[in-house]
Amino acid sequence: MKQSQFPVDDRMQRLIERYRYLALNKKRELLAANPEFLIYHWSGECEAFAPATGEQAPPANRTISFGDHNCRVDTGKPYPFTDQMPSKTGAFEYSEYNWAVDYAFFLDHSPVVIHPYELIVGEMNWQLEEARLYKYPEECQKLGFEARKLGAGGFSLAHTCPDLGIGISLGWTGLLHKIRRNRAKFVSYGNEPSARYLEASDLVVSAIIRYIGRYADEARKRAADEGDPAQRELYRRIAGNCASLVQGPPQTFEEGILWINFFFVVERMNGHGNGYGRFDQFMYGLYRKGMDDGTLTRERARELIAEQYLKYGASYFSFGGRNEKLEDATNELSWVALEAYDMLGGYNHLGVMWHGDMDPAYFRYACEVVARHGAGTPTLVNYDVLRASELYSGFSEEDAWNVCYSGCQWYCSVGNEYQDQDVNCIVLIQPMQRAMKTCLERNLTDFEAFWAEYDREVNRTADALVALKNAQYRWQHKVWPEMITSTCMHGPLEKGRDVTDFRAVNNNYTSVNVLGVPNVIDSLFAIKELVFDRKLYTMKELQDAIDADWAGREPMRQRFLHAHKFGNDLDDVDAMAVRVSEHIRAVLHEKRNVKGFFFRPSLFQFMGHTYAGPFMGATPDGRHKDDFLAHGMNPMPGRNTEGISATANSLCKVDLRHFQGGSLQIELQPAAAHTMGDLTEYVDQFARAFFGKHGVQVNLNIVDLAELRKAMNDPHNPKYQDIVVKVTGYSAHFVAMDRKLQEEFVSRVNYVGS
Amino acid sequence: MSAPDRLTGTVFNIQRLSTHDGPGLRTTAFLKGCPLSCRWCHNPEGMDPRWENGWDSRKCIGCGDCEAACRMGAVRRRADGGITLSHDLCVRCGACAAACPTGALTGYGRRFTPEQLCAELMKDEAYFSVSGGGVTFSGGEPLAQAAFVARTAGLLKARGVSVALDTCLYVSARAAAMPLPVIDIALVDIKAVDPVLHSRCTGRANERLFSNLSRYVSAARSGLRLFVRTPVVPGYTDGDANIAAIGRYLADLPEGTVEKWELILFHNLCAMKYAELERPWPLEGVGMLARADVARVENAARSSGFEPSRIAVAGLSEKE
Repeated sequence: MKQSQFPVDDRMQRLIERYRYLALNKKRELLAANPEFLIYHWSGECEAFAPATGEQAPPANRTISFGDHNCRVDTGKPYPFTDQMPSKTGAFEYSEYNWAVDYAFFLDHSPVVIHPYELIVGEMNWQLEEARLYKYPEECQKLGFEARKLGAGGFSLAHTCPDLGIGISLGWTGLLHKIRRNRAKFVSYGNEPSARYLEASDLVVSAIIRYIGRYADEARKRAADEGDPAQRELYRRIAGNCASLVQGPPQTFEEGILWINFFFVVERMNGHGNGYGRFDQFMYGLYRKGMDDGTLTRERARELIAEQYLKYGASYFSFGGRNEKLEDATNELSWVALEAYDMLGGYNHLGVMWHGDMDPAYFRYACEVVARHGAGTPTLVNYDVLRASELYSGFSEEDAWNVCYSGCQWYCSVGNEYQDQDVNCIVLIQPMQRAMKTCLERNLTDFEAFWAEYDREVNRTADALVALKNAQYRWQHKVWPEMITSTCMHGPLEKGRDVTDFRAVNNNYTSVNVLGVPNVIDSLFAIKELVFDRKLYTMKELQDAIDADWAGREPMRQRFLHAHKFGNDLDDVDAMAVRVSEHIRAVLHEKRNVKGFFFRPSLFQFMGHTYAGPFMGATPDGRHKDDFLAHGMNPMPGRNTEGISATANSLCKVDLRHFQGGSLQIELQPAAAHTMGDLTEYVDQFARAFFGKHGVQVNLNIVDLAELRKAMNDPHNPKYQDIVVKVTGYSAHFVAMDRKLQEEFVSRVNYVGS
Repeated sequence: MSAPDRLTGTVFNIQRLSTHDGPGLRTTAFLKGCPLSCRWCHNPEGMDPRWENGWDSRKCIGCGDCEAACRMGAVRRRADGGITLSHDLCVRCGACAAACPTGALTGYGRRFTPEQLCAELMKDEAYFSVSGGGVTFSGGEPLAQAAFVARTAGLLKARGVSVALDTCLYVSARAAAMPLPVIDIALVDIKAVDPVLHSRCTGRANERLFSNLSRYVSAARSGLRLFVRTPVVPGYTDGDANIAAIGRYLADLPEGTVEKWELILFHNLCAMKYAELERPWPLEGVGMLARADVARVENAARSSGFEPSRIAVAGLSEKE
């Protein structure tokens, strides 16, 4: 880890060592069942990410690892009580109540794990789908495969942003009281379904309280047996903190951090994915209280936050942004939370939400941290574009101001939306390919006629996705409700409906990642120029060349490859970028889900570009079949030759306020730091200018790709073990990533500065 | 009616987000043609004022389209799959580069009107305003196209853009004076004070440079920001005596005239460009400066009498 201005004491050093051990020994792997999951966000085997163990786990030799990107700590063993799960010893049914009975049993039989030196406890070794059946009915499977044929797919799980402020203020007992009060209300109304849901919710929250109580008991017992005074004191404090959380809401900043960690653990047991909101806002009350009454210091707060970062691996918090009056929301805790990362460096998922009125010193510090650690953390995002995007979709002002960067490249109105961020996909190349075939069959000679076919095919793909999503939505709350997340949302407990159910929260737009957008832009532009305008080639010749992966047609491929490309600030091809992007937005805008909301595109897809090449075949942008696709809305590697600002300008010609994300990925050569002068200043100036043009997000790695190529073949060399990279929107230790993901990463182009 | 304005300039490169060519983030326009012949010239494609082509063997697929496109027979395919460019036959029409499907044959030199170049340079305006940057005219020697540069700089100035001029000042007094009303910053190259050494380095003596510099020194008194840059080239300009002489010259100027004196360390990354142009790289085998040499040069500069806080070293040295 790189040096920072904040010293690390011996206890923290021990915690860092455990964190490194887990990451580098593949104890925190997040798995996908197959490449199709990465391409279409639906594997056809598992309903979401792949369980590591259990009946539904795919064979280990087939899974793909995202790297150390999981809350779950692997023990190498399956869940020991699988056979005793209530749904196995009794009846399995698709219902929230049946799920809750299983969850409560699962949690009651999850071990209490306390490691030496730690103060923030709570560790998850298994997720519920390792023990309970997680499978949608056959009709959904069928629609999934039909959608895939047309270039679409998706799942629904744990990709929203709960409002932890609700839990921090009420505590688990307060939440339980709320559940029971609302249940009594629904019983009195004769609303059996809502009363039944809250009865299930009662089971879940009661189990969580028992779980934390077991930590208190275990810590108390260990304190009594411990000979070392320092360790005994830690156990004593853990016991006291846990006992307090069993009684009510957290009373101190330390208890608040512990509350958050327990929330992560019990919530992530039902699925990987959520963001956790605006930490500097919902924890500020406890921070201020501790600072005012003298029980907390800035150093102590920094250390506690750092411990939580290490404990969880990644925290998905954001800092900054605006408050309800749209003033700068940055406060002292925004600084402390960033300092905690600065103390550690390396792997994390934190965002700083810039806006034009942000304290410039704070944003500059965020840029300094990015420059110092070079691992893409914090992610720099534009709050004003996030909010504008929510408003553009139809969010109310009340919901939109509290928007928060929440995950890879997505954002949520905290506690007020559930819309499948980052888990649905349209592969835009497939409708384009079908349009080319129709063009051939009908002998179309005009680009606009070809475009009309493209429009028709994009609509077909979108319709297939709509059918799949609507089938999933009808079943989701019964198949795999999100009852822990629901406790910290605005609506579910009040309405007696799971957050995944219809209209439980205010906003249910369906988010769709669009894969291959730059490939389609470049392809359509080359087709227009070389086939329709200049008539250098016929569509038949192009189709034949693509079918043959350009074999024997290298000069032809080079002409398609050297047509103007997106990412160079060229108005002609960038106009095609705007047309293609706005088109998919307009198509999705016209589609409705069964919750009554339309579909929203994100010009990003986190991983499909790595694996989709051979599935798609060659493309008219000059790409060979086995080449990677473009990463999100970033140009194909090597095709943007005019530098970072040209690429940023091309991207910003698309009005990103109409979309749900479209991040700019930059891999900067470390040597650039020597030749470009003050790197902090460079990042600060570049990001502010980019955001001024309505850019939405910058993922910035400072990494020598040549070194990473060496690391691929020498992963145990200590020199390479601490290299953390922002892979797409998420980070991972490079040596812990799947080989194919490593290959894609090193194929990117290092910007070297001027 | 007046005759149409035919003023155009030839630019061989536009570098965006440059951090080397003046303060802030800048877009640098490199103008083609230079009166000097610096032995170490890093932009050989900028020496000749005329359009010229270069060939990158790594990109060539041997398709022969360039040969077919050339009506003068100036491009010939070789038996080894490469091509031979006959510059004496070439009429600089650009047909070969236009026909090349891979970009292996590149044309250096694009003509712009002032309005066209201004539009191109304004693309990064958002980055200028945030960083205190702007546009820099470099080369080649931008003042070899002084009227064009002055007109374009005027257009930029009217749009509120900060304009810098990176020049060797080896031009006529009239050309040197032409852009002064519309530039904010001058980056003046001083390679050597001794005219003999200057001539050995650049093929020209330096009286004209110092004569023009006096005008820029005067302009500095009325607001022009003046930076001096010295390329530190092993065996040419890196001698202690030369560095000290430049420092003494600058120290003798009125206090505060020169905002910064930059010592720019030599590198050899331009060798590939010489290969593309089928020209020998005169400094073949000369490596980057050792750290000890950088320290020596820096020490010579700091001991010269010029204000040390205004001295900066830029570029990479050899790893030791």
